[in-house]
Amino acid sequence: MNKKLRIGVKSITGCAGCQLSLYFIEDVLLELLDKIDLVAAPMIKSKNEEEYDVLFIEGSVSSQDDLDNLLKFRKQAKFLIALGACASHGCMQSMKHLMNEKEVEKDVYNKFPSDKRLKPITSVPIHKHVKVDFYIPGCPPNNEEIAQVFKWLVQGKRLKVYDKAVCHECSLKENYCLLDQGIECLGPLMNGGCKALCPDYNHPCTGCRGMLDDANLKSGKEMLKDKGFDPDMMIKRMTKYNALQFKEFEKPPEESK
Amino acid sequence: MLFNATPFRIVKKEKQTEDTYLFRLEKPKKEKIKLCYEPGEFFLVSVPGIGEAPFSVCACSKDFIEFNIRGLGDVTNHLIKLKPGDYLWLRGPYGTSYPMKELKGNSLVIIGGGTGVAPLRGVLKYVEERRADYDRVHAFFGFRDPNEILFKKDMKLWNRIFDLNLTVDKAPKSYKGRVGLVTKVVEESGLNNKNKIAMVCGPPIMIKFTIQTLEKMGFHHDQIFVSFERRMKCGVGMCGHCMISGKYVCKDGPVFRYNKVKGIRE
Amino acid sequence: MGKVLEKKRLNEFLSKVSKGGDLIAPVKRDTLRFEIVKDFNDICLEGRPLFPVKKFFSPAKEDLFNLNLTNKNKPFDEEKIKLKPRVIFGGRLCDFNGLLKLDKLFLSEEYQDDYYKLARENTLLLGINCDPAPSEYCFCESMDLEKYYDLFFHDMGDKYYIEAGSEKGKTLIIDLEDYDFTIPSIKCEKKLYTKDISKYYDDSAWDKENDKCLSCGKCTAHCTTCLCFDMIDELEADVKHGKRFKEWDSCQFLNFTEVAGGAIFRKDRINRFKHRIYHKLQYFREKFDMDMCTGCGRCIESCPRLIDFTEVINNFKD
Repeated sequence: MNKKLRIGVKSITGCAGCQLSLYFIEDVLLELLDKIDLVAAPMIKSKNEEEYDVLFIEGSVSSQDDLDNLLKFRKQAKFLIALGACASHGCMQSMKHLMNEKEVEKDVYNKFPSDKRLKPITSVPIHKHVKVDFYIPGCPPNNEEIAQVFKWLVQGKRLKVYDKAVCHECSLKENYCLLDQGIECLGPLMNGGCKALCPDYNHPCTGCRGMLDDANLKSGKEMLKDKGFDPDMMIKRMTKYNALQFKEFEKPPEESK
Repeated sequence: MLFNATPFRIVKKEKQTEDTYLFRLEKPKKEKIKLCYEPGEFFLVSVPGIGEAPFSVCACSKDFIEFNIRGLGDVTNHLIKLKPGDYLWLRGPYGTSYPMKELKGNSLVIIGGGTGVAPLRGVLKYVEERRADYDRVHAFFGFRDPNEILFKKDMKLWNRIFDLNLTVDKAPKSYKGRVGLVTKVVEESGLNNKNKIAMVCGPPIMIKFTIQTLEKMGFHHDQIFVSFERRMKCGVGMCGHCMISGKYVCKDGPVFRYNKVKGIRE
Repeated sequence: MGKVLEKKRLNEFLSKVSKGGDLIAPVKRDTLRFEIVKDFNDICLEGRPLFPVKKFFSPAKEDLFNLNLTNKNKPFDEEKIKLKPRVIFGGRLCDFNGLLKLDKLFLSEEYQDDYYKLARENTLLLGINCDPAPSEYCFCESMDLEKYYDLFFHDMGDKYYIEAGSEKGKTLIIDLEDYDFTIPSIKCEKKLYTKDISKYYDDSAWDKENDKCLSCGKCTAHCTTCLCFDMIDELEADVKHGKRFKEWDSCQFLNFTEVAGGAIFRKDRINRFKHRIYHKLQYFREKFDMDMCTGCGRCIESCPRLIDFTEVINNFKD
């Protein structure tokens, strides 16, 4: 009961902004220090331990090294949390799922043919390789939500991901709908939990928290077309963070045998 | 206020299965509180910092009240860790009950599945104390496997004073009791509907098939009571979560006469 | 017989009736919203706010208890509700009729919501007639609205004709000049031809509109009578203190009917889609003998796909 939770943060390919977001809740972390031990936090600690009760992983699997590390991390962690858009949905690295991967690779890595260390593999969110116990999506993830997850962990409460449309939180704030203003917002298709941060500042939602489990993509596309937005551009926006989810939604349903 | 809760002290905690406990709570002496609750009614039990969850009255006397709690969600997982001497925060009672007074003289057919047996235990406990008021009582209880059987202590008594039929869905070969679906056992009992009232509680799929079975046996819809379980937040018909086809499970239910809810859609 | 008020004396009148309290009226910023008025010149009566007045009776987020887990004997400390007297000016008949419907839920015989009750008791309703209908999506003419208000204003060019709908209203205008006039009734382009939809539940006409539904919950957020809510406990960083609060929820979301253990009772979008409309037109009527819809058309106007349930219903074939 009185044992402190051993908590770690580890990175694979990403911008490390998620890890940074986690440190931004230092006020909460300080309050919780008698209940948690931050045993691995590479950005703020030089001595990092292994074996975790809870491990946050940021970044997507994009190289062989990433994969090896991820598999090792999974073994060391009792509870594994995907932190941020890369780890949860693949984020920008996964855009190349909609392109020719070989060409992309050539374009990027031929500039540095001498660098033999890089062994790119198909970039995917971490759940494609290991079991993930919880997701904190977002690019970057919301500080308050990370704080909430810490509190729930300490309370021993089941973690719960926010799964209502961005429009919900946006409407509760009585925002003037961007779609009504002719701005190409993806709010009705995307997972909220961000307190509608972007639409709140008149910036259209681009779905950094992933698509809703029951997103009606077909209707969403019709909506954007009806409102006169360029369909190609819209698909690019939708897939900025969620190329893999988009592909899965688009996949024709398997024929029942 | 509407959502104010009252503390009830735990006086007894009895393990039923791996994750299920029967709690006996002592009624607070100071508070002006109804002495006995009707079987079928429920309370919202509150854990500060976690939330609330609804529980049916599982037995009740003028001094105590009992709940059967299975660790399934956040609230329940917390509750089953509590010990005698701790307090539970309750608000209620809410909802409809089985009209026990009205049913005097009838023979009861009580059919429960899994944790759905809990509110029906309330009925049997009520009848135990007023055995002469009711004709024969046929109880059919189904559980997933022998380890999931609830209220084993009560079953011994019920076996003597009621017609008790206990079954499990699956069991190891060494198990001596009955194995098979509860609907099957009901069907094989060959009961007719004469002067009988059926009470059904359990998972939605079990309710559905049990009703089909009862229909086949000649039961009219107004001879059947069903009890539903839905997501519930307020308990007083405001929050909208538990509504099915315009019926609030919290206020119009959880106990419904089946003719009132026949054909309702989710 | 009513009274008459010159437009140039409106601010003076409003300031008199709202003295010591808050005046709530439509205010135009980026868009029109009901707000607590700070400057009388902000009041805008052109058009109608797309968000209704329900937030003043049950806010989107309302604290219920302060939690203190260290106090074993009293972990719940009831939040004190503080409300100034209020005057809502510029609400429409649909807005105020919405309250009559919500009364059935929040002020039932057995259970009353404290905040709602206090807000209802302390709010004066000063309505304004819709001439012409403020939105092409309105269909209140089909919804048998009651003349429910304390005062009702009708724009006559340089003056307002005012009618009282309550004793309280009468005293507010007692000093004004008498005037003889009959307020014209509201005319809507859109109509709802039948409200008896019970036999059409399985009609395939629902499917086409349901295919458009994004389940974004905007229809319920904008509805005058949707006030479903969730109750949530949230703790501070010390994991000892916190709040229990109410927050608006919507039956259009997948998890609305989810129970512990993970079962979801209204999983298919179509069931959620129809649940809202059947609640408005059938279920509520069965219980309270009135519709839960005021015909304000906000759910249509706010929908990203402009899904129009009246069209579906009007096109049912017998």
